[in-house]
Amino acid sequence: MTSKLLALPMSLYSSDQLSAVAEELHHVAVKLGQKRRHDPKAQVEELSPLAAAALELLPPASRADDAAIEQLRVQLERMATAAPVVTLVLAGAATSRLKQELVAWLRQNVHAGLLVNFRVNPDIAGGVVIRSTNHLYDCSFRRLLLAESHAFTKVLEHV
Amino acid sequence: MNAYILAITALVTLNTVLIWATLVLRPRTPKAAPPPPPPPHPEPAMPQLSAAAREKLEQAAATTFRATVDQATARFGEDLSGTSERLNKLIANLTTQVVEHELDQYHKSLEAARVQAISGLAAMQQAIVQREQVGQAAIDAELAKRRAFLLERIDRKLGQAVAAYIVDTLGQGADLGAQRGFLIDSLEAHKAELKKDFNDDV
Repeated sequence: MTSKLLALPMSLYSSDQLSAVAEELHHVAVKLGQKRRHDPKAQVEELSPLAAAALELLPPASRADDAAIEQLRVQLERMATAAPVVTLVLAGAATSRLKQELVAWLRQNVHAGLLVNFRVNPDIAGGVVIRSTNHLYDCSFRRLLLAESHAFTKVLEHV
Repeated sequence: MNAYILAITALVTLNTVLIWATLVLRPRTPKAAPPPPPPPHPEPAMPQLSAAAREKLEQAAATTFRATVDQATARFGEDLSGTSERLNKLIANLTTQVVEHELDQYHKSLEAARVQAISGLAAMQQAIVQREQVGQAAIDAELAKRRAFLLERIDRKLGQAVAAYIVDTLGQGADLGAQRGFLIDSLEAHKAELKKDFNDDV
């Protein structure tokens, strides 16, 4: 299993999430290894939704294998540092559904292994500021209102 | 003029009468017998009229002359009257023709002046219209420029005010759900650049 082939679930989109899930999986793997010494049939106990979603990347037979989980952790940590990242700055906190929609669009249309970091900046008034590796695309309402102020009524339709 | 013509006519008439009298009163020689041969030293025998006959002839000549002069004077008067009448008519006709000609020339000159005036007026009106059009176009262009400037300034100020109002009003509570379509459209608008950024980067 390589990082290129790892198709992350839409709920797992940011490098922070990957780091957190990797850390959680590391604890799970260690704990599962300790339990396996006393009970070979020990299973993974409670997981967070994100870690559970990440664990589904493994084949069902390997989801109770601490070595496989540890390998998945390593891949996730590698992706957290090496995968392409795009940052979307929004005017407010987006719902999980909206975030997943945006992530799905980006992975489908731009790059399959793309990580998306969401930031909040109320000063942009709305819209989105897209920051890629070396470019910034300002599609905020503020810029539209100032640069194309004649279209502010159109912008207001989305407020 | 009339007196001069009358005097000439009288002299001509007098001359005619004298010639006639000379021819009538000349002694006539009979043609039957040839004249006898003149004597070696003949003396011309002049006919002698008696004083009574001469006086009678003179009276007759004077009477005839007077009658002829009167007759000629009357005829001349009639001719003069007719001539005067014809002259008057001719003068009237000439005067009428001259006046009519002058009037015609005057009308033609007037018509030419009127046509020239109308032409000049039309040209002037056309020039005025052209100037008005040029002036109107310049005014319209200036107004449009001024209007665009004012609208741009109003829009800029309004944009700033609206942006500030939206930020102050919504704060963290922006309805991103309503912006979903706008967000996707924004990503779509930069799709090519994003793909290039990440594919080049990867």
